[in-house]
Amino acid sequence: MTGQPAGHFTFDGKSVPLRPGQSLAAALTEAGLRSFRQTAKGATRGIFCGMGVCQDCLVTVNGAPNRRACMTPAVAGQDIRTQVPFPDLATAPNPQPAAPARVIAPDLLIVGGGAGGLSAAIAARRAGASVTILDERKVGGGQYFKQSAVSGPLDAQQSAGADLLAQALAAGAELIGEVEIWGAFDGLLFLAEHKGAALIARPRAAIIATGAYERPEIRPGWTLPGVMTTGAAQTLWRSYRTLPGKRVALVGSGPLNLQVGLELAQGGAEVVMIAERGPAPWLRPIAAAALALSGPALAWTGLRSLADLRKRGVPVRHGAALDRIDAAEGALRVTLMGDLSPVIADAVLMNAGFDPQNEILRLLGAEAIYDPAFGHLRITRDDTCATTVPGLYAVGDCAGLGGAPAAMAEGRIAGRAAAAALGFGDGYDTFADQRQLGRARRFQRHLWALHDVAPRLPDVPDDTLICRCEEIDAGQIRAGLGEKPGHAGTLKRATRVGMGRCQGRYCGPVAARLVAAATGTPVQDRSYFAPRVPIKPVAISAILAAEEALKDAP
Amino acid sequence: MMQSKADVVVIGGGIAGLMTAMYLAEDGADVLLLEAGELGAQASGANAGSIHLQIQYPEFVAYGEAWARAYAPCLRLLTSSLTLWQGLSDRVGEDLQVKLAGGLVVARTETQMQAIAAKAHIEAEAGVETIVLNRSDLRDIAPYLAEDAIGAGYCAREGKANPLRATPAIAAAAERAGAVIHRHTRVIAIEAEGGGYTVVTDKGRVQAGRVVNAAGAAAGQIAGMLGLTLGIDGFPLQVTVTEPMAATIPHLIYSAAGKLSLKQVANGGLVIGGGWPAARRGDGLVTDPRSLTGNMGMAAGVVPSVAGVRALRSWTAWVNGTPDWRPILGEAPGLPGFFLALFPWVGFSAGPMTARITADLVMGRPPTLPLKGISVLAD
Ligand SMILES: Cc1cc2nc3c(=O)[nH]c(=O)nc-3n(C[C@H](O)[C@H](O)[C@H](O)COP(=O)(O)OP(=O)(O)OC[C@H]3O[C@@H](n4cnc5c(N)ncnc54)[C@H](O)[C@@H]3O)c2cc1C
Ligand SMILES: Cc1cc2nc3c(=O)[nH]c(=O)nc-3n(C[C@H](O)[C@H](O)[C@H](O)COP(=O)(O)OP(=O)(O)OC[C@H]3O[C@@H](n4cnc5c(N)ncnc54)[C@H](O)[C@@H]3O)c2cc1C
Ligand code: FES
Repeated sequence: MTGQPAGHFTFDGKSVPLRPGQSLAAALTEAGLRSFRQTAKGATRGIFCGMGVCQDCLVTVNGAPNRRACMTPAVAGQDIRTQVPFPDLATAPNPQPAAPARVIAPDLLIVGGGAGGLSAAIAARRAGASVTILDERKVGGGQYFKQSAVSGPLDAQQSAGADLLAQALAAGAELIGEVEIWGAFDGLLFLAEHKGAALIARPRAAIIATGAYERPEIRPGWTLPGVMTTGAAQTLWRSYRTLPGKRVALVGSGPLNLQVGLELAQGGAEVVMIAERGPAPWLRPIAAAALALSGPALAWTGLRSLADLRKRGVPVRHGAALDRIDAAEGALRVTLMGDLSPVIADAVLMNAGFDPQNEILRLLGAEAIYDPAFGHLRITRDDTCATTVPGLYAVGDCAGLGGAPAAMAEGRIAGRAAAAALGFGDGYDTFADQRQLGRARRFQRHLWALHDVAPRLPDVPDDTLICRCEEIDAGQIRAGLGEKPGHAGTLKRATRVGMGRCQGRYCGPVAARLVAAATGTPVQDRSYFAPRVPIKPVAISAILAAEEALKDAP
Repeated sequence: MMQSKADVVVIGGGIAGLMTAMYLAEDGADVLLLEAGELGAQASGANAGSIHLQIQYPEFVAYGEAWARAYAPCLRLLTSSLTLWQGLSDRVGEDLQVKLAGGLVVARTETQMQAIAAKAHIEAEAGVETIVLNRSDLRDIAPYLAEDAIGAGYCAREGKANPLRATPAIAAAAERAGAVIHRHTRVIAIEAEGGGYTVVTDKGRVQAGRVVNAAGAAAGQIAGMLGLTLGIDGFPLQVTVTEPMAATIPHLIYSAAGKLSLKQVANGGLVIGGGWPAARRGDGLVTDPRSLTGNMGMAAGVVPSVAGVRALRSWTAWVNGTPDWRPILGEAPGLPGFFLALFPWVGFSAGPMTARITADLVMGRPPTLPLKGISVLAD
């Protein structure tokens, strides 16, 4: 779309062009290739979350199996193949560590270099603490500031993010990208993989700022190639200037769908439909006014998106929910509930809210409580964002949805507080930040009141998959529920739901809700699958790479 | 409301308790099983699924031949338990993924080969055949092993089963046979009276003529309720599973270099464990990083290609352990009608026979296998 091909790689022998900076997933999508892997049950899958969480975009890269196409840069000459479900053990490469293990011991470790993490880094660094930020992605910025990986002009959000990044670096924070944290252990020990070598962090304090991931619409057809989260499409477009497809439909609820729908339409996609579960704002004048009052600038942006979409003739259907998606005519047929006229699209984007990426926090034992309005856990924190674990702070969406402005205010508060607790800087007046935080949180409440992200029980036919990874369908889950599991963990053992590669990121919340409903108990912290090490799949060679360095450590 | 009387109360819904209840119900007894939490949620559901037979190599080296000779009679129980495992899928009507393709203790030094041979000798005396394979024989049957493997002890009857499937299927079979199972019912006291027992739970009291203690790692606490001290305790362990790979490893793999069990399970994943300790946090358990790296290193030392495979998940659980590895099976001394069904460390492998023998004793029959030399209660 922009820029010239910088070479080619092959996918199952066919030549595919790539542009510099593109991920494999982006280059394949641009070439119209949507099926990346085969499942154990013979289905095909492609990009879904676009952010390294779903583990569904696996391909074989130069003989190395199970690489995530969304997290792997495209390089000229690569031999990419469809991932088979059971790769050969004998040919699994025996990678040697690319470099010796690196051990870092900053005063403060920040996990996640998005809105919250960068803000925390700036505050803590300015107070005098040494700060290292680890991020999974190559470029920092996080989901809100989504930085571009290809050359081209930046939009306003990207420029603001670039500015925040520059401030963090200028303040003297170190940012290490492409770090896959796979373990967090008591005493604040973090084990990670960084470009094929081990990275071991033993900070004095840690701020977790890992953000959120998207809640999908679990409906028939939600695993088909071409169906992806709205954020995945946003990343394709904003980071790689790749459209998810020519004709796109968006379903679910929330401001992201409207924003991304508009971005894609501006980028040249034909947005055939945006279906929003919530009623139109003009039908909810009081809620809309409350939103406008709580955050005039932001509410204005939202209303302007709606107006822009209308001007472009994009049909926005309020009060409309997805029924099913079917493969049809080399594309996807999208049917809404109670609707007789399905639309045809090349890509279907879904976002029905967000779930916090709180695995590291829960792994370390931080307490949380269930927030029934958002349908997810909120990490228990004091007003400095300290969790119940000594030395461990949580800021931004990973602690519970709050949005970018709140994440930044929390970051500033926690960064200062963590530094002060370590003896850097003293009495800090957080009044201004607390006030901004209050405002941002009020805005979020009013914003989400206009949408419909209430957690749902999957009211789907028996053959609809609930667990993408293990391919466990609703019928199997219902049979498992028939055995009266007292806990989601029991349902997991009975059905294998949540035992796959993504560690139950998508089916786990559903399992927690189903078990709660079946047993008549409230959902709570302990209703969820317990997070496990590794929090993301990690090559055993990478675990071994940490061994020597761990031995020497206290 | 809970029933207030039963012929037999079984405490503990792991493999030992559930299968004992199954056999007893099949024998016509009126059985009530009490489980504090969920069935098979402790060791019996969280174990690595190895069906062991041969004497564990690390213990053989650590404790020596005298210990091995004292333990060897237990191999008779394991042998007969394996036979029960082979028929168990048919018996409970579900595929428990039992595959007994043999276990290999892989050696890399001559000293290790000598220890394997000495161990094989003791095993042979207990009726268990372990073949000492040389390098080329080993490569023929297990080409996936490290180049520097110079031989192995091969015990052809060992293998694996799926613990996630086993306990629910056994529980269902027990219920079909007429056993009543109460989950979420914790035993908090036991009172001996009038030749029987009153089992006090957090849900009510039950009178029973006979009581079976199959509480695994918590069996010592249950026995303590009657003033009995048992040399059994809980030890925290962890296990790791990898992503699925093409079926390559039929065997159960051990290493002579240290603690390891490695197997490829039915869905293609590699389950890697072998007795590495988990870390404690409060009342709970969490993965220990040093055990994880140590365990993975042990695995990659024997099967080098696992280094390129991704670990997906580790988990932790308490195992029931006794210092001498011998089981505590039979009627408790001085407590008529109170039975102990406790097979330590490899209690998944031994579960079926532990249950068979316990059911025999509860029903007042001589045990299917004489316990002399096996149970510490029969010395
Ligand atoms: C897909 C997506 C798209 C969004 N788009 C918009 C939008 O267009 N407009 C809007 O207003 N809001 C958007 N949001 C919400 C908004 O991004 C957040 O409210 C805001 O970014 C919160 O900031 P944060 O610092 O908490 O998290 P983020 O800004 O998301 O930062 C989290 C960072 O942590 C890193 N990370 C996560 N896990 C790990 C790990 N295990 N190891 C290392 N690093 C890790 C991530 O790579 C990321 O850089 C989006 C959210 C998502 C999930
Ligand atoms: C990580 C791990 C890996 C292992 N790997 C293997 C292996 O590969 N092969 C092998 O053979 N063995 C293995 N073992 C050992 C084996 O799993 C155990 O020895 C065996 O499962 C014990 O079975 P059980 O029924 O006696 O005890 P458990 O399965 O522990 O069951 C005891 C039950 O009693 C219940 N209970 C406790 N207290 C009370 C109370 N007060 N009231 C009511 N109920 C109570 C518990 O909740 C529990 O469900 C492993 C163990 C662990 C922990
Ligand atoms: S799309 Fe790559 S991990 Fe989800």
